[in-house]
Amino acid sequence: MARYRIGVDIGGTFTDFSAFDTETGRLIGWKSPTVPGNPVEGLERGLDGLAQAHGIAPGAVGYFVHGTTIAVNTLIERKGAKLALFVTAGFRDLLIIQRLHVPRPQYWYGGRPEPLVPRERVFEIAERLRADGSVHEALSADSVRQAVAAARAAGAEAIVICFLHAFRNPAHELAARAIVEREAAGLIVCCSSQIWPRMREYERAIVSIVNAYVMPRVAGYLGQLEGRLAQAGVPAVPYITRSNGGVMTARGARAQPAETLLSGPASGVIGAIAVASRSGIRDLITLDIGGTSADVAFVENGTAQVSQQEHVASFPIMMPVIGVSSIGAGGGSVIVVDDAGVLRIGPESVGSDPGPACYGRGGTRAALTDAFLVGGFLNPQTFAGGRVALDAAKAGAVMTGVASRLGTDAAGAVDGVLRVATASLYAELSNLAAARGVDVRDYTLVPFGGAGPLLACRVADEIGMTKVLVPPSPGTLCALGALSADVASGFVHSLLCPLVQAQSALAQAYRTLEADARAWLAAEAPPGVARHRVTLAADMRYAGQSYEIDVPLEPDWVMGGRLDEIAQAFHAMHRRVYAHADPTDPTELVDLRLTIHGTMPKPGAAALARGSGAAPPSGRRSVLSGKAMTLAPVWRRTDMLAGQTIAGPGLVDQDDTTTFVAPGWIGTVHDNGNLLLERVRP
Amino acid sequence: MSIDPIMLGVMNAYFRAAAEAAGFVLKRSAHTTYIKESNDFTTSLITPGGIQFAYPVALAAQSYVGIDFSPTLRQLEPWSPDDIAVANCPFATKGMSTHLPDYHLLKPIFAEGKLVAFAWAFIHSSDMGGIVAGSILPSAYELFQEGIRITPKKLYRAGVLQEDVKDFLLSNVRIPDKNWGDLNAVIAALGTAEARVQEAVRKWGLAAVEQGREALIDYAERRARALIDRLPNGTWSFHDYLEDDVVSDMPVRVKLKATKQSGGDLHLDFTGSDPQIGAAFNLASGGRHPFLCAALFGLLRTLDPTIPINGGLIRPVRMTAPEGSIVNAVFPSACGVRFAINQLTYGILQAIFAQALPGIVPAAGAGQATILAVSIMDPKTGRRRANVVQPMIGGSGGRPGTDGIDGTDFSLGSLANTPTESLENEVPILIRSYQVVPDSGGAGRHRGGHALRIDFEVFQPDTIVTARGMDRFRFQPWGLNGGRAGATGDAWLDPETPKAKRLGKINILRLGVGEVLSVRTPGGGGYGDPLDRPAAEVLADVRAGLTSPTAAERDYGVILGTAGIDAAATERQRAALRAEGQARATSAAANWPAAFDGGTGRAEHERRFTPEVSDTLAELLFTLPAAARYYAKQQIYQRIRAESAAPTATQLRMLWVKMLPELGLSSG
Repeated sequence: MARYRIGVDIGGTFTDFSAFDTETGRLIGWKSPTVPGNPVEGLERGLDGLAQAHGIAPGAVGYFVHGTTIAVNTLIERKGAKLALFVTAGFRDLLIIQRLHVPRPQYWYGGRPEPLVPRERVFEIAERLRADGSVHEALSADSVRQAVAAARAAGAEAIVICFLHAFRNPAHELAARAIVEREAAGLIVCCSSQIWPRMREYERAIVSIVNAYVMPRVAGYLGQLEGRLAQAGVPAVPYITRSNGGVMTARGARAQPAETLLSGPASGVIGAIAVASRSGIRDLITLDIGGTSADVAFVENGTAQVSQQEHVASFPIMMPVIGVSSIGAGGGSVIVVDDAGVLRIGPESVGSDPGPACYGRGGTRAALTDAFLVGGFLNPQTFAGGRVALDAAKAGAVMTGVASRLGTDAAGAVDGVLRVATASLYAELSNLAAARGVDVRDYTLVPFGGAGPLLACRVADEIGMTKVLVPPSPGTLCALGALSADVASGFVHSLLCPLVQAQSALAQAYRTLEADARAWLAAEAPPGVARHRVTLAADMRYAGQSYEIDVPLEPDWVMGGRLDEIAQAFHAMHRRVYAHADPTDPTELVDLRLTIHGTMPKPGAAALARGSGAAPPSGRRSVLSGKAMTLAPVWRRTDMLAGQTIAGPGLVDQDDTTTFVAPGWIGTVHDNGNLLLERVRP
Repeated sequence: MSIDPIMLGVMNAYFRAAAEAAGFVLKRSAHTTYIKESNDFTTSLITPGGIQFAYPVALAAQSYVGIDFSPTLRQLEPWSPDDIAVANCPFATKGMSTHLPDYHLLKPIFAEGKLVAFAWAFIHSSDMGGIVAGSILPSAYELFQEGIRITPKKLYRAGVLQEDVKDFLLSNVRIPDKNWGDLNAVIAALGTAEARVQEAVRKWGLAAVEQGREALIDYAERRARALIDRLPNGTWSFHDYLEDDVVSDMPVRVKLKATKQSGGDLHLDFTGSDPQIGAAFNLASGGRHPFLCAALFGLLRTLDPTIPINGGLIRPVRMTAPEGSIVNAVFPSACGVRFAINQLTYGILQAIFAQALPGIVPAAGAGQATILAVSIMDPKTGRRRANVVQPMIGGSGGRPGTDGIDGTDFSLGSLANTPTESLENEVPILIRSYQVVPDSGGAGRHRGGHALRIDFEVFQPDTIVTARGMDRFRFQPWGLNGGRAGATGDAWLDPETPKAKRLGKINILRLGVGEVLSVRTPGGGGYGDPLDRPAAEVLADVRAGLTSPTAAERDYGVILGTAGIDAAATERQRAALRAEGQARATSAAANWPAAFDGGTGRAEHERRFTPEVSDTLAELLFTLPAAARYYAKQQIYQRIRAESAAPTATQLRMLWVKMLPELGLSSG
């Protein structure tokens, strides 16, 4: 019965499916147009399409996982719940002051993001804890009651409570919550100490506020999804991807919708790790170039770099997520020639509506995709599986405009656009590498998204990388990532003490976290998840520092009180991150974090038929190579056999993308369907 | 070969990234807080001629675009590969360094045997020796008190560390290990920049890089000139003050006359500004310095956020800054808190742009930054530990189209606060409140950003509080185009209790157990007539508790009833206020252009120290040798204050002539 496992990713233009047939081991990629404003509708149509084209009966879907952008869109479009916030008296302006700084101080019309809860719905509660969690002033029940009455009068749909030092002692928040529940039954209440109890009141409040803010819309969407899946006869309980690269049930997502904010980019990285591992590649940089931006992530030894400092809509998200950084332009980014005649790409974007001029939807500004088309990189017949007809004439017209402003011809303009786009990507990527102390030459670039494989060789050339791994279906990698993800959740306990004093607290914290984690897994994992693993990490720092680093720990060190080993791990990590360490300085343990992973079955890759020698091209296309158009071989990805090789310059066409193999690069097809490109001459 | 526009775009991205990569390396491997947390460092690529051709934008301090490196570079010739130079003296480097706590390092970059560029970086060190830990003391009256003075010298010669130089550097500071750690981070960063430039030469060839680096500067200059050309040709003037200089209550006046000519030429003339002072607020600009036109960079980056950032941006600007004045101090004046002059001139130039380009420029922001710090004694050991409580800045000005930013200003907008939870975990104090001050933003169609207030209680005996940089306790941030001036700053002991005591400016304050200190910053000035602010926006501010019903009525003419706005009463009140306002405007002192509301404190000061008096005084003081001017200023101030009314220029000259022999001074 449960023959198929299906992963879905809903993008702005397309809803991507990755279906794994557990009987044949076959992986099926499928794309269906997204229905704007009604993503479930588009999803349903895609399922219909899969059923018709590949005979996948809804009743045979045993596992269904999907990424949702409802939470992130609710936040960006500011269409969330009407909230009230309860804060410690004296701190009513927590959301106005934020962390004081403004994102672009040089810009006179800039500022901090507008608070999600306006000042008139922020209420001061008489209570105060000290830094050690002890009570300085007891909670005033009266002041809570008054605030509840005022919040209800102001029409609040949910109440968020964030008191100072509640991460150390949740008592006041919990007591206040109990009063709210008595006074206003049915109102949603979120406590900062329950969602993600870490030090830093603004960031902790934001996590709770965002969670409550997106909760009603996420819940509504998930209810609709479950209903429609059941109607369609899908027996599987839907799973939802999360920003940490794991998955959880729809029920879990209703309680912690903030966990889905960055799930889209995270799924892509998980997909990249999954395909790269089949080729034995464990150190990689992902390059996802879609319609609006180019995003990268660093993966070391098969593990994605975790970040606790990501921002969504300018709000800090202090939870561990897979760190994905935007490094520049996407296919929709606008090409600008400034008054001084200098070429620039972005930051404006034409989006998907009207989109680049070549989409023929009324777009009149030249975008990167127009340059790709004019440069011969795209096949107008197969672009997006033939579902978007490209208008070469319109692209030609806007690129001629660019060319005349630059005083060159169309080929010169495309060459210029590609060089500037590549230089910008190089600039940002090299900075990320410098900030991390990473030597990119040790890494393999894994491009995906519609335009990643088009620019990968150029970016690699520019930055000195010599290996590019193109996944079998770069356009549906997020859906594959969703399908490959484990059931996973993180838990945090604040310790905030010198390491030398942490021995018993550490073991206690570990036991608490582990119990919470197991209980969560028991409720969330589908039947049949046999194995699970637990990873531990601490946020640590030298005494006096105001920033922490993330140090992976062994459970044995924690349970066995082996503080020396913890200290050594910290010093070593500090040296890696900051290039120096001082083993004699006292260290502090700020938080202990535990992540539980319930291992899910992974889709394998059916082996390709074997071939040998040079892959025969299916044709030739005029493509820009260097500064001129040349006739280059075009291979069809579906025709390529394991073990075959190709040499640049050339193009590999497939339904969801085109790969440009640059001069000086050769490609080899792996059994698992990956295409490994290697630079053979500098 | 010439650099085509595409190559220029490519090089712009490449070299900016090179400067930023150096910045990331520096920040990553630095040890001390100023660098890691406050971003008080920067990096650049410099031409052999001494101009920045690439500057980091994604991180690092942004106030150092346009420094002239040529005096320092020339002093250290000849350069060899792997030399590294170090300096911190503002006078010996002619303004490359601006105060002693900054280490500046330079490394020549050679390719194909030729000097193609220099890599430069500076870091604000947490200690450079001198009279106090941290080296900066506002009341310091000589450079020698502010730490070790490093005139340009080579720390490495052809890759060889000069141990005697290193020893000399480190044996004069309180935290030698940390400073050496930081210097190594800088050295690593310079190496990164060097490698990137050499890589560029391999990629594009020596000639292309040489032409490209100059073309990038020309390109930035071209873009800057085009933007400056949006100003009409003409001349505008403005003046403003530091309220006092910490060691006395005499204001320090900076006067600026700006002239814009066709082709985007801008001349900034500071003639008429006060002489340098016997406290640490002097700017050693060398006569021309980016700190004196910081608002220009704000204007350029606002009008065109994509403008390339390099030394070309300052090329359209010519400056006249009299030697021995507060804006061009001479050796050995103290410079520790020179950023106050950067902020003051920011506001003055902003006011000039407001006159030249109506409808673009915001009203004045707080114009000050107080670094509020405590030194707390451990009662058991007696040992003291110092911590910054919070940077206290104040609101930005109201802007065309939108209200000001609460609690911070553009010139310091990158400065972050410390979470109260972290602070209380580190420092034994309790923050009673940290919030915006209602009614503190200047009223306006777009009101000024609100002031911030912090109240904290101390738990240890003899806690010492310092508040470096406090200003705008008397002279309010100006409002623009009908907008009102912002609120002044304030400080109280045990506020809102029977023991409450108004403290005024804090230099140094000792607090006992249980005492509460409350510090409030200034608010930003308002933009546009408050009577034009839609009543609904005023009502929203009242509902948010940001504007009191009293202020709504008094400043905005909005009368609120039980059900919201009382439209009829509001209309009557607004009409009455308009009539009154016109009367007030016609009777206002004409010391400033009519578009500005300078508030009451400045007007009070200028009743006696009229612009005429201040101009004449500056002229007279500058007839004395630089070192004698401050003393003479103190003496003549006392005499002017003793007069029954503001003297005329002639009366002042007579006072002066009488005074000089009494003091044993004679004009040169």
